[in-house]
Amino acid sequence: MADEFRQLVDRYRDSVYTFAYYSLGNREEAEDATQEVLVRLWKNWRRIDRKRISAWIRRVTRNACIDTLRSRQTHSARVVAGGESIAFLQAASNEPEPDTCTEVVQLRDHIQSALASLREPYRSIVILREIQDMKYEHISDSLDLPLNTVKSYLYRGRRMLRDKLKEALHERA
Amino acid sequence: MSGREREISCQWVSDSIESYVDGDVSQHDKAMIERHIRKCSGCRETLLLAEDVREELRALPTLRCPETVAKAVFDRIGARRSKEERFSRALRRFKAWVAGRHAGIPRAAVASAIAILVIGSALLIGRSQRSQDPISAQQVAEAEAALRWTFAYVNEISRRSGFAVRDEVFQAGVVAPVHRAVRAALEAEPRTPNKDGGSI
Repeated sequence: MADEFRQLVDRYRDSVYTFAYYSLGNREEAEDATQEVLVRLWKNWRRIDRKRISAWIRRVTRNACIDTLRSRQTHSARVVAGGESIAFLQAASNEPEPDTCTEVVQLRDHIQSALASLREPYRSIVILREIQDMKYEHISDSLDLPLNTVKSYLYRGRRMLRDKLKEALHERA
Repeated sequence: MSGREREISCQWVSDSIESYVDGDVSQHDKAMIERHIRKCSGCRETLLLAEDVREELRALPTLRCPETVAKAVFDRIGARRSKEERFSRALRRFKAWVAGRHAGIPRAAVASAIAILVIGSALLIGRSQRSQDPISAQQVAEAEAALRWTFAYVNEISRRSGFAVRDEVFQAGVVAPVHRAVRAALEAEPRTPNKDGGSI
């Protein structure tokens, strides 16, 4: 197998998996979606312009996640419960343990499920910008949206998250 | 500030707070938001929540893709490549057979058989479409005999070169479709009675 393809897999698999996990909210579907994206990369990588390959991968990843969500019977049933997701995230990222402030823990409990329940394209934009620290220009390129629209959708997406979290925190209180 | 003014302002502040948190507002709007927040505890809470949400999102980690995923990808690719290589080998064998290298069958003979099939079918179908006169029974019989002869010849060639090529390539890809097309064309045309007055 071409070394170049192996290098592409090594370079992009974590970011593909990360996007898929936060988009879909569970490991199994994230793994399946990642596999589909990498197999599609294999089928097409020789034809793709190297300068545009990361945008291509992001687009294909997003579409794979949208397809998975469409094929689900019920969305909320597949999202990982808050406590389990924090432990999983720590194990998967090798990051130091978070502080144990109650309010922070409460917010983190809900943020992942709130994120996975956002509709498109807000969810993708929030993940790309806030979690994967992507520049607005690259997001605009990947999603084929004007720059100002990306910003506007980002703010709207964060606002929706804020509203969902406010509700969830009130219910919990 | 009147109750209604505060309500309108709170709505506007809530709508603007995300861009404010990102520093993406004009100096004028920034001053208005900050003036409002100093007086409004509800909007102060909104600002704190907006800041917390952004911080928590940014604190979510980049995950490591499990090794099993990459392994599954390479396994699938490996299986697909084996299938493609088997097909390429079969295609190379067929091309060599057509070139006459394996069975010693002259290339011209194969080309002629295929040409007879294609041209004969085209003439029959074209003729029936062009002509307003119905095809006679004798013409149908002659055409069918010619086609049967051609099929027999191709079959003989195929028999000599191997049943696999006959079954997989000629029979399925050439003989059966042409036979069906010609038969359908012939059956669609009205028939003239035989010279002796019998019906067909």
